[in-house]
Amino acid sequence: MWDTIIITPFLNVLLLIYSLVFSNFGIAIILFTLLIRVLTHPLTVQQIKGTQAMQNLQTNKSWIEMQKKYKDDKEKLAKEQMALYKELGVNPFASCLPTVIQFPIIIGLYQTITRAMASTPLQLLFLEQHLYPGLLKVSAILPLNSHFLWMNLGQPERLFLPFLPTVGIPILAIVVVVTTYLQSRLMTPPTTGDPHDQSAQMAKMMNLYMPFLMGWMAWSLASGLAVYFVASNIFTVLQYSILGKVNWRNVLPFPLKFGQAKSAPSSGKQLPSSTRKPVKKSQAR
Amino acid sequence: MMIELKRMKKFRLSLTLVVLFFFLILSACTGAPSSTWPGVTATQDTAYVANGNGVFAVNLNNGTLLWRFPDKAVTGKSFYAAPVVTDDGQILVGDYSNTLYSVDLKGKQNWIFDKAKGGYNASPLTTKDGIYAPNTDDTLYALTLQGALRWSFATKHSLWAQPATDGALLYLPSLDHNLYALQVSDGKQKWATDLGAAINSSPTLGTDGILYVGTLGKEVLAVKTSNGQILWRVSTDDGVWGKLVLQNGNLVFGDTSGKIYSISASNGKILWTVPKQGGLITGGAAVLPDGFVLTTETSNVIHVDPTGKILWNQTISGKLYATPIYVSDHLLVASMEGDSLLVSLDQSGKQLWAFVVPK
Repeated sequence: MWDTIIITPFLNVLLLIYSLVFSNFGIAIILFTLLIRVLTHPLTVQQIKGTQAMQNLQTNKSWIEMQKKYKDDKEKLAKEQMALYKELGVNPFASCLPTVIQFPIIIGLYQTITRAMASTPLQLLFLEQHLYPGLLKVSAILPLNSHFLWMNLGQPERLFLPFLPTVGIPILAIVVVVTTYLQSRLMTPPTTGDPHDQSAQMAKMMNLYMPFLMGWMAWSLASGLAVYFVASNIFTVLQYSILGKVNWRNVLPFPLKFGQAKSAPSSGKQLPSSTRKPVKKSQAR
Repeated sequence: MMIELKRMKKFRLSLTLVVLFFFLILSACTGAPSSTWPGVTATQDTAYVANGNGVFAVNLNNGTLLWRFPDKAVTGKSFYAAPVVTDDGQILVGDYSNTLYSVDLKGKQNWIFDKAKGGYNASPLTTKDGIYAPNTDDTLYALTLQGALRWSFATKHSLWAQPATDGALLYLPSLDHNLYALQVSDGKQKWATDLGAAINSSPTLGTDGILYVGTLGKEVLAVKTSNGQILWRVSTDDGVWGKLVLQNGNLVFGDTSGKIYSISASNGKILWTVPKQGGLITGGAAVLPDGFVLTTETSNVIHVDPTGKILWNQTISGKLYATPIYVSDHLLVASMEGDSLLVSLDQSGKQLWAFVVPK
């Protein structure tokens, strides 16, 4: 089912693009990444809105008071949180549901690019059997031209310089580390300064781990995937810039107006009336 | 305060584990495994099958393991191209990294050739004078029987099929759509003909200066060996992966639609076909005294007589992509993802033994 719904359509679209860009697989990967980004843009917008709403909530006076008041009563806290979400019109899942939906698309994209660069007979057979005959002509399209710039997209990328013939420099892996780091930093929202702010902690750790993990994958896997990583990082920054959610201050020493994210506002909205009644002291008869 | 610190530490640890788990999943999901179906060859008393981390020598009489090479699995080394046995008692097998090994009949390494930049998807061709090893780095390497490089010839894409030779010229099929004719002595190109699609199967040489080959473009072609001229071409229902068998002036083969064909070698006229009996066919046909055997992806072993009549259709466990071999009254079928790696059947389809790789 996974192959039928995700992999096969992705493969055919990727190879259709490949056939339209003069059999250049690197360009096809970049354009395919852009296409996926455009198609999932509504989900990205929803995710950003959800994240922003949750972030705003962290500075909401009612929220903060509620956390302090019910910190020892998890059940009551959860109940009050849901009530506040409802009152403020915040969907706590809005920030993560788009990610959950995009996750299989990302996996599908990885598998599609890997399978398209068939390096074994079994992989080529799979490719041949999954092309839509009305859309693509097998004889014209297979095998794919896996060379792009200095790379063989089916192999891990290494650049061998004439004066250093035995040492391959993983240029693309380095680019992946740098672009992943920049993307993470640029998308990290302005913080509240609270050392106990969990979302800030999460962002800090992701900024630290992600570049190395992505770099390791780019170093060890086929370079076609690394091209996808770089393209994806750049398109993500552009996407967030257009939506005005990029935090240039995290990277540049000077302010940049284009796409600059605004700081999270502090909302002073009061708690619902049922929870604003003071706790009554027991009275003597 | 202490409780808060502990909570934050616990949160960081959880997040670290989640991120690591995510990337473990991602690494596992990054596409199809880099394996393919096994390759098998046989002499009068031993079968050699390359699969995964080793090459296995199997006693043809009873299916027991004689030896494996290497002795223990080596990380990063995998073997799938069918081994080749030379006239001087070497067993040649290429791995998926870049090394061609020569091993003696007891499984001990003689020499290696590791100058190629890609893996070996196809078996080398051997003659009394040398070894011709097609590599996925687009290059054919010509070696002496001791493994020294004589010459090399680069094409424009990977080489996934064993070349053929008539002694004077070498006929090299490439995924770049071309069939090349090279001088055996020095590798100089005599001619190259574009067949219109990737060529994944070894050419079959006729006796009259014509060779026959199938392509992934759903065609079988006859080519003149003297100048590469295409004499005729016949369309098939789907791609032709296996080597064509030439018997009594007729070519027998299967295609990936699952159909079996017999066509006249003189003019390409289709003599008979057997409709799809199971899944696709990627291997060539084994020649038996009373007909031919082909295998399918859906576990069918199909025996047809020279008129195309099905004599029997047996199923064995696993996906049967490799070309079956008939030797010393044993029909050897290599299986992928089956209960056993290699099965021996008799001419009636009855199983004689099954070889399972020991753990």
